[in-house]
Amino acid sequence: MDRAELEQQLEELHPASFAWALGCCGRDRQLAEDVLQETYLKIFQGKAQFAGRSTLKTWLFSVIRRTAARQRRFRWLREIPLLITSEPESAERCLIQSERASALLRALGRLARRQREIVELVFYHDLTIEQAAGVIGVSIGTARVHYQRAKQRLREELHDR
Amino acid sequence: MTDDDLRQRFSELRAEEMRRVPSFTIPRPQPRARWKLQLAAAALLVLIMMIGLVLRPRRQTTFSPADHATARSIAAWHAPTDALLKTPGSEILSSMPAIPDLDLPTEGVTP
Repeated sequence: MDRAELEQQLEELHPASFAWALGCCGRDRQLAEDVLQETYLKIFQGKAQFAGRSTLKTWLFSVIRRTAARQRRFRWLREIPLLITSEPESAERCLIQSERASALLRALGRLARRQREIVELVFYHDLTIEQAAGVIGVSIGTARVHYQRAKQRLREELHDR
Repeated sequence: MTDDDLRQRFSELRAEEMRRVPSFTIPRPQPRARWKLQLAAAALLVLIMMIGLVLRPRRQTTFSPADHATARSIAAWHAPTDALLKTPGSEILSSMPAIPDLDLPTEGVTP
């Protein structure tokens, strides 16, 4: 795949990639944009290369996930000079107006990370459980367990809301 | 709540979030190149400072005859109480006693 073709495909996937980056960054819009830019940079510098073992979307999502995890690990270093002890509600955080969507976000926030990732990949991004397992890097069996537990928790949290 | 209900909830969330997607831009790796350039400039500056420190002209220290005389007098000075440190028999400590040659009989001695 040459650079022009890769650029075109990344542009087509850009909205979905941004949405997945939002999910990986706790809906922090600024952080999600940074993660996405770093991901694209990795790809165009050849640090992340698509080997064709999965779909481009699945591969791209796994790169975004790893990049976001790396950002999270080093985030505390950037916060030390500012003496930020707790994360404030940032104005950059994605503004969700609908009460139903807000309730869903709150319910998602109470799930374990892998459960949240699986359920987002399946319901939000329309991936199969097998593809979601590939993005997260777990076996299909593990992914199924996380998927079932996540759905159960979401049903309990969203009951009558 | 069925899977379809959940899917509906997620599609509402997606519709809200997709209203404000940033434009697609390909990042240029300039900041990293600039960062490397700044690091190289700082390293060069440190190197120049170290070379300057090594090659700087050193001051020559000169002593007058009076300074030499003072140094000699300090070296020759002994405390008045040095004599008290000499105790009787102290020469034993500073000399090695010689063992005399003895002509001992060796015949008829059984081990």
